Amino acid sequence: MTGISRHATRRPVSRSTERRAPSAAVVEPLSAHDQLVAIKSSLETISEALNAIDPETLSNSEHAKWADEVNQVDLAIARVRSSLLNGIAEAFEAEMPSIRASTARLEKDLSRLRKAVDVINAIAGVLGVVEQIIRLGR
Amino acid sequence: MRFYFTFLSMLALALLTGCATVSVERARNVSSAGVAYAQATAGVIDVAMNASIDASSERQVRSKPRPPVSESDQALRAAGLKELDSELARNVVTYVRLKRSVNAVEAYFEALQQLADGSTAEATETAVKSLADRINGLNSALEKSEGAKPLISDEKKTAIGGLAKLVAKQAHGALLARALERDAATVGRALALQELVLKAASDDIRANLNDAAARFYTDRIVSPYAAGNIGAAWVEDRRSYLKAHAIGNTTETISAAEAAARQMQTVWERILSGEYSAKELVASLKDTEELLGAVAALKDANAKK
Repeated sequence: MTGISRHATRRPVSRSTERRAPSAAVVEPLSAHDQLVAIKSSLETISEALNAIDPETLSNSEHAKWADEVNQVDLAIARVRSSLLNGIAEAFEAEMPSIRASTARLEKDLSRLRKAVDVINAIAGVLGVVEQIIRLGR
Repeated sequence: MRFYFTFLSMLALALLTGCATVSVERARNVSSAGVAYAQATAGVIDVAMNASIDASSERQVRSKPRPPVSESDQALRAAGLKELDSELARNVVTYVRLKRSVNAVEAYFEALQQLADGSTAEATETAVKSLADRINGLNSALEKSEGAKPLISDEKKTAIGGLAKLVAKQAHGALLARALERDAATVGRALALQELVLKAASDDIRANLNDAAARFYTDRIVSPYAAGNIGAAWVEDRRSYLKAHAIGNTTETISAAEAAARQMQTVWERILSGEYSAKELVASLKDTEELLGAVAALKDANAKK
């Protein structure tokens, strides 16, 4: 999952941090994620080419071979998709506790903001009651 | 005196903390873009789930065996379909997991939107004015004189209320600014992952469309042409294929999601870099102007005491 992590942390890095990175072009090896994307894309290109063949123009043996290739490519695409999506899902799910904690903090912030007004109103209310008691006692 | 000193300290703090309107507008922008982005991504996931299954089904239909199919071949085909279907089912389950994560990101932006819209400035002004009324009432009750001069004059009450409103506005803005700074890294990572989800889902939709276009071109344009079997329908088909091919066959759902992703990137990059636009700068000057005006009003009210 290192590939996904590299992608995921790329954006929040501050500009100053980016500036500290070596300026020379460093060729990074393709991450597992990038490799899966590339393989899936190649398989999809093959699928497109196989779909462009008119089955009616093929002999029986050619048709059997072509159909077998279509099936293999179909299964391969589904398998690569599984690995690809699973990698992203795992990385995303690892971030969920932080996201949920941030959401909860925002909700708490909103509640604190509202509480401040409630406190002022409560004090005003208490003073009002005290005033009434004093006037009644006269 | 101590009361006013507290207010002025808060005011100074507010001025240092930054510009409320800018922070609120920024939070509103980022939250509405975030919600739109998450919704668009979830929409693309829904389409991609169908597209990935349909693409496989279309491949199976096109490559169906020529009859007769022997019993052993039928058994092989059934086993192959079972294997393929279990993989496709796994794809759907994973897409649902991804959608759940995208929904959690949407919930974050909805909470941010509620906080951005949750200013208590007006309510604080009303509450502080009401508190001043109560203090006057209590003072008059304690003094035992109904017609006594109020402790806090109407003019001063309005000034204090106005200042309280602005302080509350600043506090709201500072709260949002702090929240954005606090969550920048977490949300940044989530957005980067969401972008990968969008890309993967969009690729599935595009692959299905490309397969369909390849079949359409072969079956409806090339084959009839080669056989000399062409007419009005062929003219229509050829035009629609060539136009779609030239313009690009991206669906509306993908286009909307990609546009939302671009907007999100722009807004988030500005949040992270802390850049100010000319519009934001004017808004921040207006904030400062309002605060200075409120302090002057309070000073005037005190001078007339």
